[in-house]
Amino acid sequence: MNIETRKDLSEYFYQTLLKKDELEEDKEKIDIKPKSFIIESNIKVEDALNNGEWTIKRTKDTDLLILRYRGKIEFFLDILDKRFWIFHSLSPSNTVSEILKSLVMKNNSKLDFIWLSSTILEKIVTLGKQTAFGLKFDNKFIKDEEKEIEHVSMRFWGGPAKEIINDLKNNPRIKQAVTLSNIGLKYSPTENLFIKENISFIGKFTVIKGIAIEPHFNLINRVKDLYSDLINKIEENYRISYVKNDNKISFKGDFLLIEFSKPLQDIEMFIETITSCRFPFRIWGIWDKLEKDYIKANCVDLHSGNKIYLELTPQWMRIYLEKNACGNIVARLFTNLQQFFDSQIKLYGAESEKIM
Amino acid sequence: MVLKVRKLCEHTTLMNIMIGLANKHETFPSVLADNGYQLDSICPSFLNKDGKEVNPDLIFKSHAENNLFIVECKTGTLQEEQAITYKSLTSEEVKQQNITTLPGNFSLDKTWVCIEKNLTKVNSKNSEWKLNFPIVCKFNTTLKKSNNIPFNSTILNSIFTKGIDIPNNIPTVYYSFSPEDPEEYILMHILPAIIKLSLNPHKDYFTLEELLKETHLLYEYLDKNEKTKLRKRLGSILSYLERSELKEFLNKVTNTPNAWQIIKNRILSFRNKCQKMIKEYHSILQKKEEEKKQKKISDF
Repeated sequence: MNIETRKDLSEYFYQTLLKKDELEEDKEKIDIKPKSFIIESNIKVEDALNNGEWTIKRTKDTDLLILRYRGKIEFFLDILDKRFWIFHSLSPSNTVSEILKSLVMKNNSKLDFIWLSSTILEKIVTLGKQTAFGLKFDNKFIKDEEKEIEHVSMRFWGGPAKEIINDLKNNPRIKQAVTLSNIGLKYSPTENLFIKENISFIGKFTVIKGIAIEPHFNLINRVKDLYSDLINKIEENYRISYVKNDNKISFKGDFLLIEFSKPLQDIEMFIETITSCRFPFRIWGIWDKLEKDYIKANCVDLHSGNKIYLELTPQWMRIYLEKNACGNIVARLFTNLQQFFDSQIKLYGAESEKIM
Repeated sequence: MVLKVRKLCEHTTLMNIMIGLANKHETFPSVLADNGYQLDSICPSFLNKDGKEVNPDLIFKSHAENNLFIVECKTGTLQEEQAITYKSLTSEEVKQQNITTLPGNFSLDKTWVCIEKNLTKVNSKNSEWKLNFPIVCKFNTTLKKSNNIPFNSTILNSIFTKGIDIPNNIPTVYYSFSPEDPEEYILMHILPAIIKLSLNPHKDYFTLEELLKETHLLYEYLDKNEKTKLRKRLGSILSYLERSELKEFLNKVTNTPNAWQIIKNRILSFRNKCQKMIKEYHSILQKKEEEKKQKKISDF
């Protein structure tokens, strides 16, 4: 199908929801369902996709592009929001995920996934009816294998999803590992329309079934707005700098604080793990012990190339972002600490305002 | 027994403590903020009525108390002329210099803040030069007024007479570092700045001046003397590193003075080398402390 407008794209994706006997005669049944990713961007499309592996085709809509990866895999890129792009595709899920991961992961790519913490996924659930959830917890900071939870992986389908999550959260043996990695949602923005889809913690939306495609696009945009509000809040209030007005130099901004639900057993191992350039943290950092149980780390976010400063005790970690830093680092750090360390951590801002 | 190693110099420590007190957060006492004081400016530079330059470290203000609180963080060096200028400063002069947003007729408080090691010297100069400043001192874990000279502000009097418990985890970001800080601590700031500059896709090299701006949050606003001191210190650290520990990573650009090639494609190995270096510096500092302690015991 020739895609020239958003309406064409919508119709093309709608075909995937129809059964064979519902299709118009000349249309072929497409078995693969649409999937979409929200990608955070601090770069122009041409600069982001200039490694020779991508071809870019314009459409009649200046903010809708058709991309081909190595001549084969097709994407539709919506850049109406210059900060948060939306990649759509009908190609196989794993292939699409791997391609986008390699695009985003490159040092200084200026692209990043959005990072939907367990806390945000629980908020998104309230937009519709929860039909499923996935838990994934993989302790990368384990010290005592006999006492600590090492790995949790669970997928649940069915009505009482919310109740099951709450039961798990109230269980002291497992609550540290109750981190949502994806949710299933039946979303009906109006009475007659609905879509069922999965939303993962890296901002991947996979359509399961539905009677209209509009709710899919609508849901993506609602999540994008929710996430964008969080990032804007971080960037407006939590980037530090000195500013000069007339003769006066004053300090602007505040730090953020991650509070752990139980004290860290090994703060050196903790800081080494998050500052050693590895995915998913993507932080280049060096650290030093200033006092017993007090570590300072000066770091660079490998996604954006901006500096961040961390101060760590067994109970909490202060996060300072430099001027112009990308707020996505905070969501990335927080979400992955929930996935790999402790689902119960909290993020606070100035005057102890709870942010996540 | 592992000896405690001093990582931040006195000036950097005191600057960060004082600014920290004016920020509300649960991880550090916010006694100035809780009592209505805000940081008004840092390292301001202005002239008094005689045209002499005044450069205090910090100015705090309180609208409720109608008070401006000027702070000098004192380390070893005390200069009489500078102290007399500071003493004679009036609220009228401050107002005329347009450096505060505090309106109307406000009261003015001036203090020297020091650490216990320098207290005797600071107190003696305070008397000898007839300055009559209230002196605030950081003893082991308490920040407290150490003489009987009162502040004009009753709130400041109450805060500093009672004393403030200062935890070990002082915030360290407000004031990056001083030229007097240990090499290891300055390296903690230089090395990430090198990586940041190396990630700029439009550049092949970075200069000392670019590095200075990236390394110190306040660099652009510091006075000439302080800038020169920092430039010298960073320049000598870099020259040493390019000849020794980081010679496989740092290469000078020929024909461009004070410029180094960016680190390309070796981000991870550079990081691991830097971290190893920081650990080694820590061990050296610790060894020195042990030697000092041994010397003290043998002297005794």
